[in-house]
Amino acid sequence: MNYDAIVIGAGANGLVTAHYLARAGKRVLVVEQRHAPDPSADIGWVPNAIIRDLGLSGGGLRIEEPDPWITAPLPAGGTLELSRDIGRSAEAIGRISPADAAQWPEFCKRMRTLAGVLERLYLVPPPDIESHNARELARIAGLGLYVRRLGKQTVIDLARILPMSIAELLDDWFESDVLKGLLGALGVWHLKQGPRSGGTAFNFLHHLAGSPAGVFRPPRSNVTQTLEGMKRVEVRRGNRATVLAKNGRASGVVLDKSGDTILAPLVVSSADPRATLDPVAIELDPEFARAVDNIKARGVVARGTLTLDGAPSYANLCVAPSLEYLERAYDDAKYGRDSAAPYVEVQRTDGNRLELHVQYVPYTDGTANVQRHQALQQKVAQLLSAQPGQVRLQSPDEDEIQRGATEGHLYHGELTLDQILFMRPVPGWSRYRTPIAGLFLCGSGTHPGGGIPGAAGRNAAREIP
Amino acid sequence: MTHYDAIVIGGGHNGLVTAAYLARANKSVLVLERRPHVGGAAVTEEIFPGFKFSMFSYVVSLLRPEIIRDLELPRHGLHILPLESTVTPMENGDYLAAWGDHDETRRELYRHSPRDAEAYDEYGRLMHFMAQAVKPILTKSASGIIGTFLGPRSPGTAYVLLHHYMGELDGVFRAWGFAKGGTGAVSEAIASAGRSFGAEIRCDAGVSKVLVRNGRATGVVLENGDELHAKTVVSSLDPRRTFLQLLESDQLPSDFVSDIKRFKFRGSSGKVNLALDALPSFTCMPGVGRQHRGAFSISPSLEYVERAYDDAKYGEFSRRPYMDIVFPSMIDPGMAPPGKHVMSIFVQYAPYNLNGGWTDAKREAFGDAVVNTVESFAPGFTSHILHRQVITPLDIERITGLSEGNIFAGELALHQLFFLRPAPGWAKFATPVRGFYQCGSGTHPGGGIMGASGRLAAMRILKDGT
Repeated sequence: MNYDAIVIGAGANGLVTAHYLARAGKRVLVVEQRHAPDPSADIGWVPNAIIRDLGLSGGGLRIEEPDPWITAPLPAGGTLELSRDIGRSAEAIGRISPADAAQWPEFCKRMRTLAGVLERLYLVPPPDIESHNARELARIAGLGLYVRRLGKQTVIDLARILPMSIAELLDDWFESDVLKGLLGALGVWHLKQGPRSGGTAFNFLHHLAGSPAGVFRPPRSNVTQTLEGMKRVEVRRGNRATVLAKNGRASGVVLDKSGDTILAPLVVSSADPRATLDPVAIELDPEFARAVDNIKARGVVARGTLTLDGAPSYANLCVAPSLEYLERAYDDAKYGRDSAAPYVEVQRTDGNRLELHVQYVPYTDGTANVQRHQALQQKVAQLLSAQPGQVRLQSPDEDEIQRGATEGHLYHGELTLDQILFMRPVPGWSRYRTPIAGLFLCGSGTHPGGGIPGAAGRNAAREIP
Repeated sequence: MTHYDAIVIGGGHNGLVTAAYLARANKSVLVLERRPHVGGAAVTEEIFPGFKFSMFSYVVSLLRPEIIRDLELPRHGLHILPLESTVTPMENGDYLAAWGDHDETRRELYRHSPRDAEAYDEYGRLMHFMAQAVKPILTKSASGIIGTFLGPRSPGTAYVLLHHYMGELDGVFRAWGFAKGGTGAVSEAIASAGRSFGAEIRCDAGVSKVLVRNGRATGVVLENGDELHAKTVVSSLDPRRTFLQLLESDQLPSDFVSDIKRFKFRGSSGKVNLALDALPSFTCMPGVGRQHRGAFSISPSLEYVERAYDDAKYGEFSRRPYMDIVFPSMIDPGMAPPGKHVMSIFVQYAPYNLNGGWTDAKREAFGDAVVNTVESFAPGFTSHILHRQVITPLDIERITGLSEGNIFAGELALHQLFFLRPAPGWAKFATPVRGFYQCGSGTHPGGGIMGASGRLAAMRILKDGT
């Protein structure tokens, strides 16, 4: 069987690229190292364009919209529950802080506008600021005009907020620790930074893409499962594939186990840039190879599941009672330790499966041991008033082994200001191409990055000739 | 009643620069300074008999060469002595030194890491290139953490490093130096230049309010109740005092007031000034020698500095702080009696908002932490201390007026720079009140004894036509 294209990785981005290529008449093979599909939900905005283009609704796509979208324990007992309805949330906030309740509607509106700017940036390849091409310049100008039309306040907000820390942003608006804690958590989501680090306000806005005003958690969906269920592309599982490249040109992949070679004139990798390019580093310019090696992808999140006897009373529980709590959790990670008091979030997916997000659990390059793992599980169980046996966690180290993501970073590269837009995955190579002809990247390591399943895959597919 | 073309509030170096430029353009100018002498945070004071200190700011490097030329500062007594080296003691007893001679620095780096020595040249070129790129923006219109409330791993600190990399004296790139007679001598030279152009400088003359009539500044009211009138009023105070203290809030648009209210200061550094009967001998480089003509930087590792920051994040002063130490009397013997020395220690972090607030006891505890940390790198040093002055951010605020004791009159954070300094739409020295201007470090480009804000403000005022 001859293929026109081989896609490495059957995650959302790999599958989206594969489906777009198949739609364009190419014979596509997807190679995936894992034997079974990952049962965990996809977290993040699935852009409408993808749903429409690939007919995902007919394929059984479900996007969850829990209401209330978050529940946070209050220090004095009871909980703060925020609803999809801005007025109802304001009412709930008013019980702990009338001043914050008064700020809530305007905050939701302003953040939504900014997230909208990012959404627009995310559905196309990043602006090429070095370009002299008239079309590209016109596109950049168009973007500038679009932002200006949103008004002076938005222009100022963008310039002011993007480099800020989430703590500074929230301190500008609110006084309640619980509210700032649950919002601040989104600013450090998958980042090895604390809420006081610059750029965390950007990370916060990034994760608002696709959410309606007043909802500050990305949606969950079954998009990967849906894509895999649509039989338009062939997926071959249980094989780790390495790019086959010679004389600056990719000609297919080699399967690690069997050593078999599958040839194709086009190889698209949704694996992380380092894992994809390291094996063919000899084909690369040393400067480029070094830039790839310098991509910051420091995994800090342990993911897992919680098994409870009955259904919980919440859809999404957040344990991050204050910005200081988050900052202290980060301090531990800074020096290589798991947080003594981690930020924990429990998310219920529609199958009543409870998924865990535990931060900060720094990647250790294999030096973390069983005791450390058990101590973490115990700590998380204690925070959630559960038994240690009910908590199952997978550390970034395990993620690296099982998913092949360098340093166990789910996004294949942190979303810091120096690693976004035209600097993702590395400056000058943000258009999904690589210095190896016929080899493209389409994963989270490329623009617009993690947490937006399929967006990088779609952008990449449109750049592939 | 005298009517001036311009009244400048505050006789710090930026206020004096503005006044000098305006006077040079034949305007009648009056500078009003609250303290008994000019200089603001750039002052030399004889704190202990015979021992003179640059109380706050202590090195001169960012001072714009065009100001030195335009105002002919050397003729008015400015004499800069180069600061030749930086020695950083390491925790293993070794040291890392950067000397005035580039090749010597390279050899020294090579001793520690051949790879870093290679990278250093590249880094230096890159920083030079970037600083050259940033500089035009500034002039037309560890040092990575100095004066900010951020740790070294916090994004954005690279800008502050760059800001300091722009140090330029007489056109020599990255030269740091002392002013003979301390930083107060810089202020004195600018004041003298201003006077030579006809500017009048009045000390012990604090301003309590700016007079505004029909949305236009018409003069000032002094603390003693006197009113003085001028076509233009310029404030070199920081943005908080300029807008929230000198004006009534109903004289300004409300969104502008809220922008100024959220402008961040958060002073985070202190100063310890010591009078010594002998120079300390550092373990890493024993004895007394040329190393004392440069700076000692107590920043043995990124982790050390990060931990120093951790204390401050939660409202404590650093138990083992980052310090920049210089011995001005080694370069300028006039600063201390014969055989004796002055030692100036810039200390970070000492948060303005200390848990429980600053008290005399806490100030001394902070001083002890500083002295003890130095002692750990230079055993026996403590026994040579004759006098000690400890300055906290609260003291800086109390003495100089700088809000929250921030030495840059507002943090140099990315969201407070360029067109956002001090507030969006008002970065070009004008204010919402006609005839009222700002010229201090709280405006673009800000911080350090640079004088650029003062000069640019004067240009703007002259362009607007006083």
